[in-house]
Amino acid sequence: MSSMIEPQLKYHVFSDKIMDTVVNFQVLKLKDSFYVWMGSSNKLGNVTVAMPTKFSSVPSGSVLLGPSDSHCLTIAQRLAKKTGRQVFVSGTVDYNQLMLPLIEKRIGQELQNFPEKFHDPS
Amino acid sequence: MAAPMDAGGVFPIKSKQVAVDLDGEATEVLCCHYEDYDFIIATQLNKMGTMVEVTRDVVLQEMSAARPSYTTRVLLGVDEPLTHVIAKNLLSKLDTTKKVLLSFSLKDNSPKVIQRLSDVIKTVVE
Repeated sequence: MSSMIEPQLKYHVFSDKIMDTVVNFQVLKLKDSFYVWMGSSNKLGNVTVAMPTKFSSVPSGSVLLGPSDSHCLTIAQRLAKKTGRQVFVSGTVDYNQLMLPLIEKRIGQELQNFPEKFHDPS
Repeated sequence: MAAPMDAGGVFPIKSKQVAVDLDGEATEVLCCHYEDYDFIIATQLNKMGTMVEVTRDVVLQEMSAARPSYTTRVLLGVDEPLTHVIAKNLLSKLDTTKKVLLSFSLKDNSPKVIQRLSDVIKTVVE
């Protein structure tokens, strides 16, 4: 059998109450990229990816799984722009005009407070 | 090291993470159990790599003695026959009817490594 070693992938979770709804977040730090899941239900929902390119100021992105009118994609693109990394964002939240910015803000807050949980400084 | 996977003890998404040495390569396996999907990452490069959606086919009762059959769909990465073969083999030891989102990035695609990795995945998922 294979010998066990110490896992290196950093996995981070946090929860917060946003507009009376508990929203859970997962962050997985990968090499040159990171994965974020957020949701008020326990479903995987959408999976999207975005990464900055030199051709446009708006990071390029794509929906990999789930409905193509995804709000995850916009979050992925903004996180990609903010961090300069490839970013995977997935999740299911009952999207509405008020909650979405707050969720995004909460991720931004976590990114600011614990940048080492998202990516290594370059 | 602190165990972040049981942070607060109430986080609704169950997850399990292990790392093993496969032929001298550090291999990380992480599984998150969502309600609709099991998300499995198997990596030797610490990257997302190729993403494949794997759905187990519904087969008739009298056929169930046969090997389970899967439908694979490449979401991200090279969509070549080998990708589908690796994805099916990595999950061949699992006995789940849930959909699986599998993400793998391996330095070594040899059958021996895939076989041993599929054993590791079984222990992580179950």
